Amino acid sequence: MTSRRQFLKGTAAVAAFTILPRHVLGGKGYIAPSDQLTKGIIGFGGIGRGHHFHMPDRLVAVCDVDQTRLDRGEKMAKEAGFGQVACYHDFMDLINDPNVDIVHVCTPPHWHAIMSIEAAKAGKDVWCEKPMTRTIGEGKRVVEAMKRYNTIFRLNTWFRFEDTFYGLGTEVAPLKKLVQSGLLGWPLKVTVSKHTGFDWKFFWVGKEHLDPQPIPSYFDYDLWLGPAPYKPYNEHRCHDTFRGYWDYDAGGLGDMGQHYLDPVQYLLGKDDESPVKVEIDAPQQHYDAAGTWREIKYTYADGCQIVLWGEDFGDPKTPYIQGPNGNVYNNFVCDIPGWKDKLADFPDPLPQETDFLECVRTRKKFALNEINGHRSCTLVNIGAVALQLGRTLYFDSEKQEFINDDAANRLVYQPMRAPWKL
Amino acid sequence: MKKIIANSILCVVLMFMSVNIFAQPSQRKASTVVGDALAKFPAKDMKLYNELATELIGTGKEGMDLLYNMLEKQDDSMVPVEFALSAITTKATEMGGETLENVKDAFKGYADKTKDETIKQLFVRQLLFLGDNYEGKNVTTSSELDPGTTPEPKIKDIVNSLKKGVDNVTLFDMLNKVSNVDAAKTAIVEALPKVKSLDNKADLIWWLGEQKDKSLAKTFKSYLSDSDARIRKEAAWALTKSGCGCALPTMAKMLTSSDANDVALAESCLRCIPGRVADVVAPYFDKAGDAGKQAILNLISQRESLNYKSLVLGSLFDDSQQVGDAAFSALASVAEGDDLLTLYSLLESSGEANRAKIQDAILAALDGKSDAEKYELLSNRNNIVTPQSKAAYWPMIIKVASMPQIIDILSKNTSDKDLTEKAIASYMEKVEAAEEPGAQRLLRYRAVMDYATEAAQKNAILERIGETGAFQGIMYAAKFLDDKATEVEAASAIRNIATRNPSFYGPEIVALMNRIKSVDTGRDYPYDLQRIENYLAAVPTDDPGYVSMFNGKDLTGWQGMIPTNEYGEGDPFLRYKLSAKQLAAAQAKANKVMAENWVVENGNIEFVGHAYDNLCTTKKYKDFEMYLDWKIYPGQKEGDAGIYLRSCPQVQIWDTARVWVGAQVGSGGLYNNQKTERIPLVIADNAVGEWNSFYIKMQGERVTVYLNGQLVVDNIVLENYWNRDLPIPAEEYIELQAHGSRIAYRDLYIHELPSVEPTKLSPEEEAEGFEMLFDGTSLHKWHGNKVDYNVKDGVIAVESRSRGGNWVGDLYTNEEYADFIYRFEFKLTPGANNGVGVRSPGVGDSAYEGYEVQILDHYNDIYKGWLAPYQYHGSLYGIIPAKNRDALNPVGEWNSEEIYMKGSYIRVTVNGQVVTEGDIVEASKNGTIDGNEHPGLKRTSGYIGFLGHGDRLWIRNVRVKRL
Repeated sequence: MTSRRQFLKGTAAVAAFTILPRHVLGGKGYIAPSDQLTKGIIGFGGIGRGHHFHMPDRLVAVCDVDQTRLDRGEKMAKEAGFGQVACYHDFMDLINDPNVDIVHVCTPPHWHAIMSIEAAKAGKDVWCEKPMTRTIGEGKRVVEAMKRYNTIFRLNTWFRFEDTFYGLGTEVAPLKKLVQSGLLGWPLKVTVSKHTGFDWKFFWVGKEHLDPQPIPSYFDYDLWLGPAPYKPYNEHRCHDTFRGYWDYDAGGLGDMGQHYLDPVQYLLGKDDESPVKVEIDAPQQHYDAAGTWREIKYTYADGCQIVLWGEDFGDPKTPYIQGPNGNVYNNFVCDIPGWKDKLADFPDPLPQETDFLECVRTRKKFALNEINGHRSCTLVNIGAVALQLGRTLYFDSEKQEFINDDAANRLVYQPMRAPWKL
Repeated sequence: MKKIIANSILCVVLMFMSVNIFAQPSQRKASTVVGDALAKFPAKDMKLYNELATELIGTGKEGMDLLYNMLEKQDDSMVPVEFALSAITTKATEMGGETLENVKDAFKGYADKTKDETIKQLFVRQLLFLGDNYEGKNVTTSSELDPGTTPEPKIKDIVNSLKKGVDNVTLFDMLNKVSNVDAAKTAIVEALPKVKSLDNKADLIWWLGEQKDKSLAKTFKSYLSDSDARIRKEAAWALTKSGCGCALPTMAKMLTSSDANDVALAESCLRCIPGRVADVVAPYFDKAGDAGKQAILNLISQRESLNYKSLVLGSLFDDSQQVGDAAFSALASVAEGDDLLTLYSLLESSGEANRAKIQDAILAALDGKSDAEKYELLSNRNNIVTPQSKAAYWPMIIKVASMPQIIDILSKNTSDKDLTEKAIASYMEKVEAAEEPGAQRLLRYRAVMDYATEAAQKNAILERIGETGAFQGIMYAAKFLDDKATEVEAASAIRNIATRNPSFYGPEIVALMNRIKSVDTGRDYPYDLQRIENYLAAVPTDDPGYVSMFNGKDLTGWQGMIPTNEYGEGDPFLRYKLSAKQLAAAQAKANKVMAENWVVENGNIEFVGHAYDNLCTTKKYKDFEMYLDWKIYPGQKEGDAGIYLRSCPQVQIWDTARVWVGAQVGSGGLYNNQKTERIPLVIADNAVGEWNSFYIKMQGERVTVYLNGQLVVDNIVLENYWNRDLPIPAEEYIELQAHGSRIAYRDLYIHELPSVEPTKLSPEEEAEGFEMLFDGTSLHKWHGNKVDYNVKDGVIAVESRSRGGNWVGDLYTNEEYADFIYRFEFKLTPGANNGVGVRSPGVGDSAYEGYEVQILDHYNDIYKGWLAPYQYHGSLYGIIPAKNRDALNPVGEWNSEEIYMKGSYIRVTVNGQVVTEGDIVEASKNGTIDGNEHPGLKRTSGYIGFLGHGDRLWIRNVRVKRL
């Protein structure tokens, strides 16, 4: 219970005075003694221990509510050459550790918003794993908070600026160049399916009925749940399989959605808006366990569409991008005759700010930040709401609310288990 | 099967509802609706979901109470109940009004009542959707963020802070919170000249640039000549982002700057600026310095501007090395088909340094042609150039060549080490990119291994072989264990294939795995060793696994096939008629012929004769799976062969070019079948002269074949070629066919599988004159749906429907029966439904067109309370109800059943108890009990069959006796 108390206390404290980032306290041009920014990781599961040791910043603290994972984090940090790092059970302790510049949120999604906002309040910058938030409302709050506390926020997926983009066999930049050239025409339809190299990972389905199990002694299940409803413990809810449950994530859509859809949002230039309609074709969803689906279709106000196909659904020959004047297939094959020559008349996409640590120093927004990150996460979240309700939904992109559907709007902001709140 | 039972198929559900719900709504009790709906949850699609939800809502509080009570019971039906409750929720939210309120009230009541936390949370979740924050004080809804500490700054304060200078954190904090951005822009543009801090000035220009405002272009331009490089950089990017048309000429002019950094900056910006960039920058070429010239060439290259081809060509040999390099780099973007000859001579006359760029240009000029055309053009040129120039062509040729073309190049240039190295590397990339099945990749790698001369090349190939997962890769890799230089990779390949495929075991593999335990694989050696130990511990002790059928040296284990007719065919049924003496003599003669026709050469079994002659195993096989490779030699008059299974033709092998015999369908098919499928599913053949790989599995009378890793025969019955009315022999030889043309076989491994012993009649039944209709091995006495009625492990497994809503049909006897005793055993799954059709015409709905004796797990809850008497198990459907409803064993256990039918008398006995008995004429004299027309009442004879549409059950030991 320490954490809950501290959470409440922390909130009150922030209202009273401003905590400035450590690099601000150092004055203009201040750089940490080792010339490195420092980082603390909350959540030492698959993502936390996976690929974050080789960032050019220095790990100084780790936090987990599972003692075995915390011990593992401590050990791995040593092995990676960071020496003894501070080990916390309670994420508020990590956030309030004055040695931490950047808080890296590696927990399941139901914690992302609270931790990001708490870190921002404490004057830390935030590196948050995908999906950004579990609900649309939480995402709106993160956007507000990052602005209020002048926080540099990175949502961690990267295909909009680097790396080969799955079945397309190219980075996104040349695709963006083609799309922004207008050669394909407008509006465009992007189909994200296994056929084009995007696996929706339906092994992230939950089990429909879980028998209660004793909570392991090394695991603080209450704190792991945090704002999520209290349901009897079963190991399948937690750790490596939590994605299968609506309380914490949204199955394969939650896992891969923002990975696959954020670059599409970038391609279509929809960083400031959301679709106006979502349609689904799926078997009925269980109230607790996320299941599979055949199709999720998003439509934007200008007619652009993003279509997701689960498993092997749909015609394998369908292009990745369909436009009135041409299509783009796997391995960046375009069916416009002489398209490469035609494309040469058009400019490259503008460069993006892709060095997070540089952004932390210069205070310029990172390429994928809370604003466009919230929009791409909204794609995931309105899909999840439509799946749970089993019906077509209409969305107001401005107000970020569903239109004429009370039940859907009740999922925009979902209640949190006391005392957690945003 | 009768249409009342509707627990899996949508079309049946709808039919059911149209009869029972809409026609007689008042007659269905809430319990019936709930019970029936539960069998269909979770709904497979939105249409069904809506229908079920509507039905459930219609049951009101009574239905919801039923569901809640089921939850509290916590039996197996928990999950469908959970789905049903959430369907009610979402439907209620859609309907609103009173319905919503009723559901909300009921659910609140359940949440109050239950003591089970899981059930409570289920209702709390539903209540969230319904708009009730049930947990009240225990949960928090979102509140406003606390106001924070920095109120919105006044623009005046920002400007003032700039006078003294301000740190970037505070500056951006203030700028991000300004709501009147336009006013801030104006104020900052005005203040900018007076800002002293260069950091502040740069950040402010960046911030203005982010506003993407064309009207600020003038401001940005004024800072392009600032003395500070950082300010110039921010101004250039801000101008670019502003979208102002003036950016292009302005930045183009900057290319003539003497400052190399400014030129680089201008080039970066120009790459992102729309418009005819090449046309605008090209005129500055003469005025520009070397850096500017390079930048202009780079931009011409980026925009692939063919108009400036002569500028590019003219700069190739510029005095400045860097300008020349940039021109060579731009070459590919301006090259066209007409330039090929120019580019060829450029390539042949230029040195190593620019070779790669010219090669790129040549490939660009060939763009639009197919790889085959490119290969031909480049090869033709390569054939006429000097030996010194050939080296410049090879990299392009191997890039466009197909895998077989690379093998061809390798075979003709074995002494060219450099080419060999590059060609092998390119080949390996092509194999990876082709993503072919493992067995095919193994063949590809084996083909290129012949040309690998260096240990490094061999090791690279062995490593990939280890990733194929292909059975024969194990034995192939073993050949590289003796060489110290390849030992480690060979051992790794063996280990990787075997440990990832635990079904690959056998004496040779186990010996190899034991042998490679001692090969030190380096850092991971302890783990590798553990994996080997794990593998070995899991090898079954009661099954020898795969054994080799060929020792690589001679034809031990093989014999000549005994011909039994004038065409030289070997009919086993005729062979059975030979006396022992005749057989010995015939075998001796056949072996002599074999010795002339079949040889062991190159480690293969090869046919070198000219007539038709099959090579025959000395051992007979029942059920088995086997691997073998085969190759048709090119230039043969009849590229044709095959694998005979149980002495029956055959898994076909032939040259697909022989279209006049139908070979275009590909190899691997059961080509001599007439009733069942004979054409392969896909054409998976490799070209004549290349190796092919078979995996053949024979279980009972069914055969599965993979050719080069692709499924070509999917569990198809192999017909008895010698007598099509009989099933294939249960045990016979495997034969390698030859058709007068040279053919090679290698790597033959066989794994004998446990086979089913046919069920025999009891001595009593045999004496009484019963006939076996299904003995566990074959459906040859049956016709109709042999797809869903599938023989598996000695029983007929009726598979769950997987083909959507289509009826695939019933299974009927080949013969018709009038008066008879029919006996069989069956096992049901929960709720399963089927039926025995008797005196059936074999088409249409047997329940009406003939008679149906019902098969149904009527114990299942989903039928509770609404089943008509004539629908219980054993009833003569719609005509005579079963009287005994307790004779069935619990679901999951086997049952025995007898149907006795003589004239109009019928008696059904289940597990020794008579359940139905009566006279059909008597029972239907005043119309049938179900009130339906039964045209079948007039029939006195017909087929016996199993009727069903989708439920899983198992049937065995089916016998019949005519009366």
